[in-house]
Amino acid sequence: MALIEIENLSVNFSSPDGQVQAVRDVSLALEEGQSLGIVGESGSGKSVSLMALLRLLPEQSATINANKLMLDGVNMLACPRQELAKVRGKVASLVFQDPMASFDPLFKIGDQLTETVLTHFDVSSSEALIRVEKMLDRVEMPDSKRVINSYPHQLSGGMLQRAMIAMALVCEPKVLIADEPTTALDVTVQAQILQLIGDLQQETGMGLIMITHDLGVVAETVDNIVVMYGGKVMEQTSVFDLFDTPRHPYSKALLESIPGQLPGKRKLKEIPGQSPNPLSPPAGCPFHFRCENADQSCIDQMPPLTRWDQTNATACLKVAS
Amino acid sequence: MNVALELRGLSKSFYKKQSSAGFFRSELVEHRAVDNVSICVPERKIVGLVGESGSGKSTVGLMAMRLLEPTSGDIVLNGTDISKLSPKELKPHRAQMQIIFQDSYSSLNPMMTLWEIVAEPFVIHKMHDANTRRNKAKELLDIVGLGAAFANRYPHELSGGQRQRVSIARALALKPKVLIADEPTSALDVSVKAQVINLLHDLQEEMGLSILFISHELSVVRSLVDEIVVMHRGRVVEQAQTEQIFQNAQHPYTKSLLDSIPVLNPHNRRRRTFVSANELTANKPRLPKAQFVLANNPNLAQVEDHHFVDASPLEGATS
Repeated sequence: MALIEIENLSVNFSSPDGQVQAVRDVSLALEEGQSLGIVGESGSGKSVSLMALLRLLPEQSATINANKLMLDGVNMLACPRQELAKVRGKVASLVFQDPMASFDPLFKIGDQLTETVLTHFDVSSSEALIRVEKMLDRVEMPDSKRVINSYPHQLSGGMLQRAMIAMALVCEPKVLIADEPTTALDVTVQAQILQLIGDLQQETGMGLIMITHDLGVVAETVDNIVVMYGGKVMEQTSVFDLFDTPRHPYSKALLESIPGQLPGKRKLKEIPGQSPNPLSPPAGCPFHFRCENADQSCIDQMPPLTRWDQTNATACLKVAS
Repeated sequence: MNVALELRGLSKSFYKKQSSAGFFRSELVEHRAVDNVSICVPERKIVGLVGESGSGKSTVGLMAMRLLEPTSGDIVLNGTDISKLSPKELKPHRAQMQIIFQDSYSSLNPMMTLWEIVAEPFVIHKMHDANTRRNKAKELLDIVGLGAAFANRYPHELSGGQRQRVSIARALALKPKVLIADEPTSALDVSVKAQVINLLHDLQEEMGLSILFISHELSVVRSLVDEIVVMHRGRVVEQAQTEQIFQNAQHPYTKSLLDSIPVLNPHNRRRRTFVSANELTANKPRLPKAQFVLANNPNLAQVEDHHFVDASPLEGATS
């Protein structure tokens, strides 16, 4: 059974200027123990899709529509509020980009981690503390005794992100959702955190969803990839196929625009123009006005996601023909 | 080769009060953010200044602009030492050197329209009449690829990449010789990043700019700059031409920086070994007999043409 099943998910936000169509007809799935990278620019809907799955979006402004929104067999669309708290943290945990903003500045790290354990397990607080200590050791936290008694502002960004990962994993979730976990960190620390997440996934056999705009990050950590653009899925593929034989013009253009791939000072291949406005997404393929191969047919209709085999699917008329 | 900007032995110390000496007595503890840094930006070249946060690279940029007073050292802009000039004397030289920052949102005044923002340097330097200022501003917006149609818009209407273009237009208004770019692409999306890098690339060639490009993104630096200066804990640890750094890095810190660049090939996944800061200082490079030592920084030894490495004995290390 799939751990995560999202079918035909759409998310709209009401804003003073109209309906923001953040996610449009997105389907994706994750089997147990698999790792999936969701790649896209800011505004592509990659974070919102997963936030919608965990029902973390504000109910007043966000409208969620889906044929299926399942997390470990629980229908998240019909899940009552009290049940949601049990699923979050226990089945799926989140790690966000900015660890400083994810911790409460008024409480010690140790207290915030034990609180998570106490919420989900019926254990004594001393038992909870033991679990927290073990987890901090597993994320290779230097000086973990001191960290337990520290406030968030006393730790560096890299240490905080380790603590955040420890907090996400302390209840042994079935899937870890990491939303740009390394973007706010220094280069050398980035590489350490990515390696840590990869190791933990191997050890525990949990599922992993890595949300990122950085293709270098997915190249190093995941098996399968979903490329999103303008709130839609452009391509589903394995990490090897994405880098060896990208099919969708957007995936190709993204790969080519990465700086520093070749020696020497040179101009980069850039994608002209800007991302579409989610208030009034263009007719047809959202990428058509930046695409080299686009013609009238790309404006007339949104290309359907055409499946090639088990892992590969592309939403492009030009690839299909 | 003419030199556009030369920084000679720049240092900056910050002092922090520490009250350990007693209730009424407090000591000032010195923190050397930048320690004897010398950088040369030749005319029409781009020099990349790389390092992690806290390495002092942005402090160097601010001092070069004299937005921050150096504790010691000289700043020579087009042959004039500007480090001791009074604010009044400095003003004409300021027009020669401009800066752009990482966060284009906080560096543009939200109350001003784009043409007013771009024309503000003319106002400050009392150049041109109102009409010319507006026309010149529109021209500049055009040069950075926004088009004059943007002239009456406000910063909040733009995306991050477009705002960064406005910052660049403003920096170019006075036709400076030297541009200091402090992480201008770090906050941008992948596809927009390439656009801004290409823009800087073109402007440098067309306007003959000399650029000090401060960044922690080595991949960006590789595509854009002629020469790289690596900073670590306030000191220059290695400097060389771009490909010398990428192909023949000598200092362990430079090597660890290069090693942390993600590999864009899933077939080549590899485990990395991370060196701690203490190991870095303990495992100094064993250099071949230095043929030549830089006069302005005796710590740097030459290992090949244009390639210098920090070979100084470090505190705590036994040699």
